[in-house]
Amino acid sequence: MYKKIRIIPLFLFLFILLYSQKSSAESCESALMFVNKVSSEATEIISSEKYTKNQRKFYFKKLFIDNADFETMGKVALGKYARKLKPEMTEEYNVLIKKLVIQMIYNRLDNEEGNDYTIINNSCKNKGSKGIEFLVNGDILGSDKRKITDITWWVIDKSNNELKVLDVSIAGISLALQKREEFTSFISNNKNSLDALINNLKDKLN
Amino acid sequence: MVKKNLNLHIMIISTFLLFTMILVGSATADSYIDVPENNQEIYAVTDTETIKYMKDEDPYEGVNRKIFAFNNALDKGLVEPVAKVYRAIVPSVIRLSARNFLSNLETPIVLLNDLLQGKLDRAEITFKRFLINSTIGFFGIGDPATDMGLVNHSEDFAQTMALSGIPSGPYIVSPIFGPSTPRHLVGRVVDYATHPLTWYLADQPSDVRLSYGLTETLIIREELIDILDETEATSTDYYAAIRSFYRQRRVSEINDGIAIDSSGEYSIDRGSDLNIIF
Repeated sequence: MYKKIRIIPLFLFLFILLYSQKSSAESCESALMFVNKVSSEATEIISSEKYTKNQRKFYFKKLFIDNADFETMGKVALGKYARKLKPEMTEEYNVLIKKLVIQMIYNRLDNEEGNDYTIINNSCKNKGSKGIEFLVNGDILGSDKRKITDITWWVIDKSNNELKVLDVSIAGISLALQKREEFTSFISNNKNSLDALINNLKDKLN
Repeated sequence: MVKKNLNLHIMIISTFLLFTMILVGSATADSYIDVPENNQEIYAVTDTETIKYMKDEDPYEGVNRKIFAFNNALDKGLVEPVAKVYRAIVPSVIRLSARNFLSNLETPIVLLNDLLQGKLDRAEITFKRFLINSTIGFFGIGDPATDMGLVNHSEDFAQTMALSGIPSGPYIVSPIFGPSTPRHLVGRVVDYATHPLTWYLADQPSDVRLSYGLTETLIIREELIDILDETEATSTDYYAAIRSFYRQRRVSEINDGIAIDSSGEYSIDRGSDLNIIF
């Protein structure tokens, strides 16, 4: 009887392990599907000849507003200075981050060498230990199907399978890390002032 | 003549090595943190994390920023305008051919470092690429090897050193050559010495050598027009943006482009500074 009882925790452990692996794989599958949907829509907008450049920008912006978590992106970019973001600054800062990130991703995908390419996302792995972050890896292929470079998406499950993009790395360059290094350097060189950063972003983007 | 050029090369290499050793030595000794005088107070009030970051990653930031400003002025005043004219008047097919040609010339460096790193599969690809592109591809102008599934990859001696466990040393901006590290500088010297054209050009008149150098610069700069313009237009601190760009790119190259969790330290449950978000 005692032996049987001792086996129960083992079965319980195995069940939890198997269940967590299954749900983790399912989540990764969802993240991969989500990224494939976003990236195919993004490339379709950018390579579409039926839109003017302004229309392309408009639809691209809409796509990322719907599918990216700009608020967290902004905080990631601020690093430890995120603590100093006062409530009255937050809204303005988030609007600026939205503009900045969309402009950067758009510019990186839109270049004059031709926009006829596809993005194939083919693998996903978990990031962190909470099971809500994923790294989806893929390739950017040219019109001749040659690989141009790599792309990695950092995706987060906000709640109830509401997936959002947190970062995009193209050719190994993470947008979030680049902005984080830039912003922290700018803030520390401007008397730790977030206002200076916000003013600078306003000048750049407005 | 050959002996004279050889001596010149040895002298250049020695100077680079000496320069690098001085930088590595001083960084290791950790005796010098180049913080601009008017910023002393700022760093004094920031927490230890920032100071450690500055000290470890970019201890010569003050000097680096000055050299960066010089390089940037040179680029804006001369290199970038010429690169834009080159882009405007030369068709993209020819520009691509020029890039292919340069890339093919560097194949022996890639092959050597594939072998030094013990990556025999990649070495085989590099060797086949060189054979195919140098023959069917008309001396590397075309790139039929890629169509045959032999995709190009980069390797250099600095990457070999990185995989051998040699640390990069601090970030430095060198005049003309731009962002680097002591390890990368040493690697560049070795790559220069093992480049097939180096010893051929050594016997050529100086104007031929200069023409080759300028053409190479122009071709590389033209390729970077979009990304640098975009980075400058959207950055709050262009110097820091380029520093981040350089570091991340090198990490990616060292890892053979395989996506690594470069943002790992910023995972929402590991980065202490991000715990405030959730």
